[in-house]
Amino acid sequence: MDLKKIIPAAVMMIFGILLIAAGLFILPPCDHLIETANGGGVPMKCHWSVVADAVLGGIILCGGIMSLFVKRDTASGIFMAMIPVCIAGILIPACIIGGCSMPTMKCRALTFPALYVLNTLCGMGAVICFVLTKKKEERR
Amino acid sequence: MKPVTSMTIVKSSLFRRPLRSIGLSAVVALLCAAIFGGLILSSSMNRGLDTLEKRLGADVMVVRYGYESKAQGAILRGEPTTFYLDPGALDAISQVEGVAAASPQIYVATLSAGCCSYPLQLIGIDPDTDFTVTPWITGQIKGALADGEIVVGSKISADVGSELQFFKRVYKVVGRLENTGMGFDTSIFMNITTAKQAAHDAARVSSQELQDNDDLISAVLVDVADGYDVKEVANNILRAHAAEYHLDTVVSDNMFNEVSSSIRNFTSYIRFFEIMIAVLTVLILLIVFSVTINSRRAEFSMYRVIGATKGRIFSLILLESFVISIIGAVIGIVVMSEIIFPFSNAISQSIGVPFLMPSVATILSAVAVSILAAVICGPGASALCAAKFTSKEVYSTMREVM
Repeated sequence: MDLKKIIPAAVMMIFGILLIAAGLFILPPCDHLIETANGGGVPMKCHWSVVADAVLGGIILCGGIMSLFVKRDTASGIFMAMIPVCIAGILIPACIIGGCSMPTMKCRALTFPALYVLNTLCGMGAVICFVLTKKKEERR
Repeated sequence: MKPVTSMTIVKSSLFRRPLRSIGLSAVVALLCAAIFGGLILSSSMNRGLDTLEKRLGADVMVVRYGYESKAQGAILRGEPTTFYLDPGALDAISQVEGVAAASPQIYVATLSAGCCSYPLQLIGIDPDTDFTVTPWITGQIKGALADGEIVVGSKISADVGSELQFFKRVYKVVGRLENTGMGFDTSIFMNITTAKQAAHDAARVSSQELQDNDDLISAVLVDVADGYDVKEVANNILRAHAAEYHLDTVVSDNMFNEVSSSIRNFTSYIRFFEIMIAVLTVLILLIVFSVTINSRRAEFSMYRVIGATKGRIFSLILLESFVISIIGAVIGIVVMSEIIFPFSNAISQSIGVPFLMPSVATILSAVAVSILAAVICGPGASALCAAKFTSKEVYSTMREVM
């Protein structure tokens, strides 16, 4: 298999795995449950932000794997599609779902910044992968 | 056909050896990241220290014996705490020679019931006598703080006009403070009557026994009269009333000096690492450029043969290292920004000293200094190797290569 095709795919796969692991395992938010009226407990919204970002990480991971088995122009399309996924990955914890109110909370101080950084880097990586694969396609 | 310029030669050289270009850029990026990160961290701590100096207000804080470190923790790091002082101490302290003004405060910690009910520090001030907090909250609210009204720190998520509930009692937010980088950012200010009510609510919720009188206080803030030594007045207070009221004092100069000294230590470690990385970077660049120029003797000699002057070869080598340095500098600054700015709250909590992000102008000057350092180190290291190479005659260089 073409090494120049494996590297962008590997980069995307690594970012996908990191996005899943960062929120769920490496820097998880607190696991406090909100007590409901009937005495049960539901996770707070920071938990759901992390789960949603992990799903997006899964999409990026799948995109990386798929880019290995398709033509270069299709792979460049996959990388281009990663860019809005990464933007969504930033917007979900920042404003769409959000997290705890206090900036000193674990989710706001550690988990979300890690997701912002990873999504930003992943987005930049996706742009580079897209440009590289597109350029190679034009050269060919 | 495109004309061959210095830039096209440099570009083709960089793309011909991508691993070498990436490696050199990474070394410069490391240097820039260290310098940029160090500058931002040290200026954040220094800004926090400036705010501490401005916001402390009182010369001496008198607390119950054994609560000195808790009071400091509440002021510096916003570690919520509840403590009380014998109310008779206020009048006694006011009578001590050298005390120009004395004002009571009440410190009550709210409850921690899991994640989102984060414990906060409620601070009750006496608007009639207060000379510490009132001067800098008057700009934020209209008139004095009425009963049931609160002013919140910058890190408390509550808008002006909204309501917050503590111990099943609702308080109206009438103002928000500016970011101070201190414990005040996670504190809530109220008048002393409201604070007494909160203290009784807290005692009831936590099943503590609390004396039921109107003179409840936690600390007395003392303004020392002009011409008196602050430490001497603090000692006078302790000598006169420590045994009777179980007093201890926090001298703001001492607290400021402690924080200042820990920031100085931290900054000196940062400077040490910056210098080490700068030396290491220059050495690595010297070695790599020396090896590279040596391996490209034939190429440079050919340029000389086809008419390039020594100066042109020299500028070609400098331009290549300049491009590498700029790329490395940008990468280093971007990577460090990705660490420092999103994680500023986590850094601030872990450092434990007043920490306030610098202004945009300071950040831009840190960027400029980092880029300047990269531009000096990179081309500086290559200039030495280039000068050595261009000092030789083209004939002897060609003979060595052949």
